[in-house]
Amino acid sequence: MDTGFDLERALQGWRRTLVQQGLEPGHIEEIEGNVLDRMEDYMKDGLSQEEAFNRSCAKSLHNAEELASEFFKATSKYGKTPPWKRKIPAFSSLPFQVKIAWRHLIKRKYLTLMHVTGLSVSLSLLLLAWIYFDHETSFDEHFKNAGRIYRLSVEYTIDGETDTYSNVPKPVAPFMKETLPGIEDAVRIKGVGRLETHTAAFWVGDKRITSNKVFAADPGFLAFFNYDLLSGNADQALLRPNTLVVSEALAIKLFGTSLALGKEVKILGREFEITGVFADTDDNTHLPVDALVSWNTYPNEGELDQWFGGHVYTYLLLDEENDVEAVKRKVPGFYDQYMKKTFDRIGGEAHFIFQPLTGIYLDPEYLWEPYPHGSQTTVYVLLVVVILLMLVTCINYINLATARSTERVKEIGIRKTLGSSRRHLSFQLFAETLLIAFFAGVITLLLAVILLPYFNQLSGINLGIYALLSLPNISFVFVLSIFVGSISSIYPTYQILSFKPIHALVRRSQHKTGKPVLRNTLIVVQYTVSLVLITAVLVVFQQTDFVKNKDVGYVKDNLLVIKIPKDDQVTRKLESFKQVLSTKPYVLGVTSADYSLSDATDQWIPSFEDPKGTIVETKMDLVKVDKDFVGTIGLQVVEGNDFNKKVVNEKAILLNETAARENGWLGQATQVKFLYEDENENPVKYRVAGVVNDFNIGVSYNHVRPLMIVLDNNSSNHVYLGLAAQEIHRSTRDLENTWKQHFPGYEFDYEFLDQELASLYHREENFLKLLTLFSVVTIFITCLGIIGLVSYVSLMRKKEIAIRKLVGSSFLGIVVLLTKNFIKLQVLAACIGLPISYYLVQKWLGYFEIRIDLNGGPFAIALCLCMFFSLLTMMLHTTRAALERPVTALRSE
Amino acid sequence: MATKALVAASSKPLVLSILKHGRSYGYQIIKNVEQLSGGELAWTDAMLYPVLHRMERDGLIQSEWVKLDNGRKRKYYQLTEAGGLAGQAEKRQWQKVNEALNVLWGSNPHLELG
Repeated sequence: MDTGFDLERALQGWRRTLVQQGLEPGHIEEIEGNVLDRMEDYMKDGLSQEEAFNRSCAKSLHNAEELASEFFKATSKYGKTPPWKRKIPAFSSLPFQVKIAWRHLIKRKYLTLMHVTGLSVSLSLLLLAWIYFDHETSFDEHFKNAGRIYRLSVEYTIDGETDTYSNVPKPVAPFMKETLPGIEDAVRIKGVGRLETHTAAFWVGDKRITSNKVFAADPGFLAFFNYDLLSGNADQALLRPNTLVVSEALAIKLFGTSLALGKEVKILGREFEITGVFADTDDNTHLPVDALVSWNTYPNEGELDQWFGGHVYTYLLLDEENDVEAVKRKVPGFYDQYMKKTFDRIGGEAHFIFQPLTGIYLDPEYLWEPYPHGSQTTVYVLLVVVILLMLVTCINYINLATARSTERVKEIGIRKTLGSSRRHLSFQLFAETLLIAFFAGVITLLLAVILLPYFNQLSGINLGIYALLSLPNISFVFVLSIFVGSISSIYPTYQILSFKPIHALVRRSQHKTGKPVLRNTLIVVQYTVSLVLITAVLVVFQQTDFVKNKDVGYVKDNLLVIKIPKDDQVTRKLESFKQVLSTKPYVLGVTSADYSLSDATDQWIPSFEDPKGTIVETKMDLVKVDKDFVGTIGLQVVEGNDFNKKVVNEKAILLNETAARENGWLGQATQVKFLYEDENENPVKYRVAGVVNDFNIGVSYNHVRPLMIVLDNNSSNHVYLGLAAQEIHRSTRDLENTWKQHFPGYEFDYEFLDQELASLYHREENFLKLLTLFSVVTIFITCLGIIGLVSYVSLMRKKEIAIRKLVGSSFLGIVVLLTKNFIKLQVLAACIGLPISYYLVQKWLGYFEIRIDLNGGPFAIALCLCMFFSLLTMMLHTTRAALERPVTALRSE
Repeated sequence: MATKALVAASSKPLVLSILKHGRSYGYQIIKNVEQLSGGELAWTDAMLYPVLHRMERDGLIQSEWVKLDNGRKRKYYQLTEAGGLAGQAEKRQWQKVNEALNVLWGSNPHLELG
């Protein structure tokens, strides 16, 4: 009777179960006899062979584990608990796992190198970017009441044009404190020189120290910002006129000791008594201070009634409720009560802005900021770029790990067959990740140290090596490295664990790891990110180059600017100094002006009498110069004439083209009169001598605003010298000597205008450098990822390639075969990346009033570069695959 | 059904006593024990074989593979000299236990109880 039951096969199955359970072959053989004996008995009772076998086996199989355990207990010399019953925490085998992992990493040196390099390069950038980000976003947080302090800025809209100032008229602070509920305190501070000029020289006997952090402050300032006074009383130090509070560092510079209380110092020709010394403050504040002069030192001009102009920096401390919105709601009432009258007369309006203290540093720069701000754009672009970089790094890691896992299918297959559990296998893979993460961490720190000087230069943060290698930073690196490694190895690990050993061992080359959709998405993301970054770099480069080299309207080369200290002793001798300079053979021209051309100007609303005799009030920038200004800096007179050099104290002004054009005076500008009141309040009419071409003051990417140039020999803060190009070096030495003869004890502070102008674009240049750095790294990492993928793909198709070669495929044909898919993906990435980068660079360019015309160039170049690098990488690797001898690929089975 | 403890305790004397009558093999031993106890002691493979192996390791029994006529192999166990002695010792102990229990379960055990 044939029931189809094959006893021998059934027995084999039964044996296998027991083998898997851990029983030894000898024991199994013995039990097998038992099973067969019992089976015979059952068959005698009338059961079929199959039923008899099943029932007989059931007895031994149903508790096979107990069977195995009992056998183990009976025979083992080592302990009573069989291995399958021992509770082993997976990590207890970690040292062993690490050893195995180490061998694997060594075995695949290049892949490991790529892994570690990719991870550490991007992590080191991430670390530095993080330090930068942390520094930039933590400004002013150290002040005790930082959360409740606001700076008041004001936005004026006059003649339809809006300007925002970082400071407000003098009466605002006292009146707001008095009348608005919710404001606990208000203080004012202003530059000790003029409004924004906070540079001053301190004289102690013959010793002269300059500082550019000197302000005049309300008596409450020290308490308001919670300054830590080492000596003196915070509430009283700034009460009396001619009193001064200095930082510890400045006190030491001046007197060689911080015990400076009661000592005398001379500033701007005035004697001051030191009434307090405060501990040096953190330097990450938008308002660093070296010395504070008492507010009462200066006459209270416009203190209570000048509601327009006469600006001072004003800080408000809200009460405990800190309800800024409630305070803001009261402001329109305040405006109506005190300010409306003034602004109605000018025909404008004012609108206050409450800037939270901790946000000021990254806010846009308003007019008259005491110090340059950080760049919010840079900080956030950096953040986005870092996130993108991390994304690319993770993708890269995944790609490389997938490539790695492909090579290991066989090994994992064997491990699985031999009984490795999923848990142990994943631990093994985790150990590799851990090891890679560790090396990457070490190299990250090394790279960060190497990059540190560059970073310091770029960021303006003076970070020391010890601060860099602080414990939090080191843990940051290792935790992140392990985190990125682990996150990125989840997918490859899952992949490798889901192999069926049989597939892994028998039909390796047909086995597919992962869906191509996912892998392709990863590549597209990488390409897109690289493309966007390269485009950004190119556009930022173009724009920066454009603004740096844009014609500013005057001859900026070989123009030397000497900064004149605000000091009576200097001012008195200035004219004779200029006289001496003009006789030097290498000096082509000498002039003086109140502002540097690299700086900002005053703005006001003067009155004019137009050619028809109507009185017009219009907003203008104002520059005060001497009569050699136009000739020395090389302006063109486009209408009328330059100042008349023969007339002393000529009552004439010049306009720029924009001023003439916007008021409709072009062609008849010389008939316009500028109306002014002299110090005795007598009306004076200045004639408009002529119109000069438009020229930029400050950054070149802003539109030129209407400007009037007024003759005023008393406002000579800067002396301009046109120098003969060949003699620059010799001339500066000679100039210094001349300076020292005239002004002994004063520092010869000079600058070449073109260099100073270039420094205006530091921010753009730093941004460019940052972007370049990040895009280079991103491309580098993308290339690493591509290498990983190409080697993966060529490994997968090894046999296919070999067979194709055997049947006559050319080398080129194989390269095309391998790269075709990548190129398709690249085209897709271009379709996604180009619109994104177009949108982003447009947005960035929007910050500039004058900007380059965006054309296809940068996009095309970016695309080509991206293609070039990835194709190059691919070629190198596909070549290797294509050149391999077919027999090597085919003989493996 | 006998308790696990009793099964464990009785396995050694039972095996020794069975093998005193001549060599035998696993299945035969299990069947004999089952019949002798009227089905009360149903030994499993997991119980018997480890006991046999332990006893063999202790030198109480020895085994040999025997090729049967039908081509199969079977492992037979037989007592060693030490096994014989151990069997007698076991026998004395169990008889003592048996006597004690019999007295206790009899009508007049003469017990002194506190």
